[in-house]
Amino acid sequence: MGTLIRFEIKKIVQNRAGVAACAIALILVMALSLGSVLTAGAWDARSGSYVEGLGAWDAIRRTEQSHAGTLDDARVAEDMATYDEAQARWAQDADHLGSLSAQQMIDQYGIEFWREVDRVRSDAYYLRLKTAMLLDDKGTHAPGLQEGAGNFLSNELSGRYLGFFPYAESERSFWEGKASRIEWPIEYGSALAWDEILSFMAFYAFVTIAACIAVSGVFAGEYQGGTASIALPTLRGKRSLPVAKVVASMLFASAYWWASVAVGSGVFLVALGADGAGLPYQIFDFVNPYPMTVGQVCASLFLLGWVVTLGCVAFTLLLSSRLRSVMPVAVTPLAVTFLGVFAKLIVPLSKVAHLTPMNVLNDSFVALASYALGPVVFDLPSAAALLYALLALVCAPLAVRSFVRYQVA
Amino acid sequence: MELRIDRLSKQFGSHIAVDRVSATVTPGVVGLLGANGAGKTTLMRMVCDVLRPTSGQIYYNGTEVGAMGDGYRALLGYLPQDFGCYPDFTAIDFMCYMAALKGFSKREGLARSKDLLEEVGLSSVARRRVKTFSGGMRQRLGIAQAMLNDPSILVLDEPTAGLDPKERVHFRNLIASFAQDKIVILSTHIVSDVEFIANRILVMRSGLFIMEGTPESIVASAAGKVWECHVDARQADAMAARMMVANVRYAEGGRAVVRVVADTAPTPDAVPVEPTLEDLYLNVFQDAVMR
Repeated sequence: MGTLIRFEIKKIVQNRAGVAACAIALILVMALSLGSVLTAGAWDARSGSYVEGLGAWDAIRRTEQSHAGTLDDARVAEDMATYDEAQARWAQDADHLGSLSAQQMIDQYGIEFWREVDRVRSDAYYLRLKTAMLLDDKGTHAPGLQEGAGNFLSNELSGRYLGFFPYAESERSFWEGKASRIEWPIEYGSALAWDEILSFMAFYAFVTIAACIAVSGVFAGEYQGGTASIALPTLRGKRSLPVAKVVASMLFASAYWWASVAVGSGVFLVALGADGAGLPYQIFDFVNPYPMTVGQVCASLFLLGWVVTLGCVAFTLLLSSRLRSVMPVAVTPLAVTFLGVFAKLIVPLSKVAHLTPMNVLNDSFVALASYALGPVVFDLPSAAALLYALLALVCAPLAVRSFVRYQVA
Repeated sequence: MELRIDRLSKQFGSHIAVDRVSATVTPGVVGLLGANGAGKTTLMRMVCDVLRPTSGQIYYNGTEVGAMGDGYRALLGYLPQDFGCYPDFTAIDFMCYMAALKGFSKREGLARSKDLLEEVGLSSVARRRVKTFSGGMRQRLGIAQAMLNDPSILVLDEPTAGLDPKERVHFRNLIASFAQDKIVILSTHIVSDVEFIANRILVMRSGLFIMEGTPESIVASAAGKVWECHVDARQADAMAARMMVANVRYAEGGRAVVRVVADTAPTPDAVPVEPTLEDLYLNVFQDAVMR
């Protein structure tokens, strides 16, 4: 079996179109990661100058770290006061200030004014805080972050998801139960690399697509190339061979997925440092209901992406075992992924579209999308994990069966 | 050892490719002779368990081959028509892969592969990729893979396609020596492939076995139907257009010796001659050949 698996991997690697697709997707992931690191730009609050590249990340880190610490009620109230004061000072001369660049503001009003007004108003931390603390349209603040986040969640759950899908009682309990496990007050800090990794997660769908293209010829290639007629009438042709094909495809896809993850996230972790993995996920969105750390979310998304990849690969293998031409097999995962992205824009289809590969990676642990099967509720990541695991478990044996039953005619 | 084909049929839509054929095959070379489209390849595929019959059964030593499963496939060696191979594999990789499929350990497979590549004259190009091979080299590689497991039943579908005359003779000798205690089914429309090595010939036409017997008995059935006549060259051309002319030999003085396959004498001075297997083939497949 080992020898057969080795040969099957060799065949996958010798498929030029598949290898080209894998190389392009890997280069894309690496280029996007490197591009993000190298082309970043930020105003340095300390010096008042605009810095680019790795220097920008230092400036962003300093800003983030300036907010580090436990966000208890007193601290949050103090920060909200700082933000409100900046807003008030801005409002006094808004017409004039709105037309100035950061540099012009520093030149005309001095660096202290710029730091205390313009920087505070555009600081992501304050903006997130403002969103979470706002209780109503009149601008009333919550007494603390926990209450603010709780209020935000209950407002969301009392409405409809995307204004279309009403939340069932079981779904409301599910989300509230999840949010109740967050340990308040949370610790704030900098997790730059992880933030970037999460931002680029959707692009890993290209890795999944490339893996599918690489395995598209595993069965169909045998039919198309006329090799099924010599492989099938052998001792292992109808038993070990199709199993070896599935195992080789899964091994290849797994190795490729994790290599891509290592390359893509490695760029961010090496350039920006791995600090912040243990911080709560809420540092990126105070109203997020997931009681997890940043590192746990990243690891879960990578695992989820792997399961999605295996599910897609198994589905591709099933198509490959049933179609005699490689091209439609290779194109299908690509079409499903991109149609899913567009289908998400059509609100009634969006819940289903969330489950397509790119949307799963983009929206998991972010969207409040849930799927209720009676009293059992699945959030997007668990629904996607279940769906793709099922796809892998069902499609792989069906692909084996189709190959065994293939008629050389 | 015996392979029994029992009322085997294969129908594709409304087209009957193989029509309830029966035969019992014992060790030796069985030549399956027929024109293109006669149903030979379809029959071979059913024998090799890669195409399910519409009806009928195949038995090996009294056991239905479908029930034997892997056990039956372990006995098989198959060279299909339009043999496909993995173009980016080297010849030795391809052989080792086929050896793994046939249940050999890595070491055994490598040793056996090397021996067979030597046997078919490909050992010097064992490390070359198959896509760089000529048609004849690929065909020899196909023959080698079919013999890897020293099969009890060797099925060769148009095995000499693409081989030059020297390779064809070498291949015939190889098959003849191999077939001493094994069943070899050799399907072809090239008469000389089976003429010298087949112990038995099955003639297939429109999905049916229409003749069966030793080469001598098959050839004898064409006795009295092969004629030779001396005519002038212009007349020879006219004969070729309206009757089954097996051969025209042009002589000096504008004369020609014409060999004709026909039920009656084509000219008053025509004399009957000894038939060959080729004459028999032309007689049986007149429609296909004349078309």
